[in-house]
Amino acid sequence: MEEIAYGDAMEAEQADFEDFFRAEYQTLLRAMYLISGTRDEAEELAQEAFVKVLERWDRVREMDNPSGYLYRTAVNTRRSVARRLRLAAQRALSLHPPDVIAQSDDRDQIRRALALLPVSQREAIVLVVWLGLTDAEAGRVLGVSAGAVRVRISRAKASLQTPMERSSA
Amino acid sequence: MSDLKELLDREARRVDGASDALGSVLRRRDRKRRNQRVAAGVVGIAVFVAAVWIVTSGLSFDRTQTQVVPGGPVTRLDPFISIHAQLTDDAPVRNLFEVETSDPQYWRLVTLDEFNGDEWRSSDPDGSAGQVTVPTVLLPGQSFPAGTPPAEKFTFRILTDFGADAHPVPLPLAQTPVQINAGDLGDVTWDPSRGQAFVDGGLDAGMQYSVRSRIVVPTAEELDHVTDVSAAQYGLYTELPQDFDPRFEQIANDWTKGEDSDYDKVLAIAQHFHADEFRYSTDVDVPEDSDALLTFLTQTKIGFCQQYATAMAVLVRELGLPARIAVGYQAGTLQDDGTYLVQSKNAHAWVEVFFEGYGWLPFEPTPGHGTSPNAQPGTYLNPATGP
Repeated sequence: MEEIAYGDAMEAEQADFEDFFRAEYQTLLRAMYLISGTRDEAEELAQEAFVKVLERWDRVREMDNPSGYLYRTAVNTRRSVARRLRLAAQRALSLHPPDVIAQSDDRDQIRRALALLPVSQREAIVLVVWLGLTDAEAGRVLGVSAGAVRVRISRAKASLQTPMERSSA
Repeated sequence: MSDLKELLDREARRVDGASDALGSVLRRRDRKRRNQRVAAGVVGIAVFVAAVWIVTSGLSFDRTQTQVVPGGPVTRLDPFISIHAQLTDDAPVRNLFEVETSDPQYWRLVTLDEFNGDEWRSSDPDGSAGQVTVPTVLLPGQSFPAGTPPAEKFTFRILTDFGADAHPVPLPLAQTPVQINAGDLGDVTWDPSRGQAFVDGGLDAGMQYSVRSRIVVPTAEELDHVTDVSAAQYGLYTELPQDFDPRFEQIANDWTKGEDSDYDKVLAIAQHFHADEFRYSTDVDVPEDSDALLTFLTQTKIGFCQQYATAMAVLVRELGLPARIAVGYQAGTLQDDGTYLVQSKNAHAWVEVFFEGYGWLPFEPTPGHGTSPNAQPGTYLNPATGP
C-alpha cells in the first residue's frame, strides 16, 4: 500500500512539473534567446535549466518563487558554459573568441544593438524590461543588488538609445 | 521604454519552443541520472578520491564536454586519481589551489558517511542533497557553542581546472562555513548535514571565492562532559553492517579499556595509531575489504591515511558513537606571500566524530600527520590532560 501511495505522490509531483514546464518554457526560451543571441544556445540553456529544476523539483516546487529559481539556474548555466568556451578558446587560440551575436550579419537593429551590450546589461534589460521583473527580483536572479540592476539598465538604455532612434527613424 | 519592450518582444517571437521540448528535458534528466549512478559507483570503489572533484565530473557523456584542446598538451586530469595515486612517491605534484588565511586548516571537500562492511562511500557524491543557494549567502545555521571565536575569512584561489562539464564539483572549505561568497562561481549548493558545498560547471584556474568559517575548538575538559550523544538523531552515523566481523568490536573495546568519557575513548583510538607499532607508508596495497582491514589492524600495521581513517571510523562506530570520514587536503605549504599552497600531495582523509553541542570534530589517526592545524596543546586533538 505504501508503495502505491508513494507512486501516486511521484506522479502528482511529475504532473506538477509538467504544468510548470508548459507555463514557463516558451518565455524562458525567449529570454535566453535575447540574452544569448542564438536559437541553439537558448534551447540548450532552457532545457538544461529545466533538467536541473526537475532534479530538485521536490524542493523547488515548495519555493515561494520557483520561476525565479528557474531563471537563476538558466543564467548561471549560461555563465558557466560561456566561461568554459572562453577558456577553451583562449587556450586554443590565445584569443578572445568572437562574440557569436556580434558576428551576426542580421540587419535587425535591435539584435545588433543588444549584441553590442555587455552581457550583464543584456541580462538586466531582458529580465526587467522584457520580462517585467522588478529590480529586486532581477537582482535575486542575477545574484546582485537591485541597485546594481538599475545601474546596468540605465547604462544599457544609454547605449541603446542611439540605435533605437535610428531604427524608428 | 515601451518601444524598447516592443522591439525586444518582436525579436523574442522569432523563437518558439519545439513541441517535444518536455520529452527532451525528461530524457536528458534520465540520461544524467544513469551517468550519476555510474559516478556514484566509482566514488565507492576509489574510496578516497580527493579527486571526487574530478571523478564526478570526469564521467560526462554530455555533448557540452569540450575538453580536448587542439594544438597543445591535454591538461585534463585522470578521472580515477585517488588519494593513493596522488600520494605515491613518483606521482607528479600538482598545484591545486592557494588559500589566503592566517589560520590554516584542513581543507574539506566531501564526506564519506556510509560503511558497507568493506569500504566507505559518500551517500551523496554529487551534492544533490544540498540546498540551493544564491552566489553569496549566509549558510543556514548550525548553532555554535559559547566561546567559539568569530568567523574567519578564507580566500581560495583555484590554480588548475577541476571538472569541465555540467557536473557539480565540491568546493574546498574550512569547517564550519557560515558564509560563502562564491564570486563568479555561479550557483553553490550547501548541505549542512554532510558539510559539503558543490558548484555546478567545474572550477577553472584563476577562479576565486571566499568562505567565512567558525573554527570550533573545545577543550578536553569541555568534551569530557559530553555524554550520551544523541544516537536518535545521529544513529545513521553509527551504523555498521549487521553481520560485521565481531573482532572489530573486540579491538575497539580493548583499545578503549579503562577510558571514562566518550571523548577519552575516541582519543585513545586515535592515539593508538600514533603508537610505535603503526607506521606510515603509501607503498601498500589499498585494502578492499574487511579482511584486509583486519590484517592492517592486527598484523601489518602499515598504511596511509586511507587505512587509518577507515579503521578509526569503524572502531569509533563500534563504540556506538557517530563517526564519518572527511576527504580533502592538509593545510599546504606557507608561501612567501603569506598564502598556503595546496598541492596534490596534500590529499588527505581524516575522521570526524560528532559531539553534542560541538558538532563534527576532526581527529587525525594517521601517524606522521599529527600536524593538524588545530592540534595546539589543550585542544581536543592534542589535549593537555591534567593529572
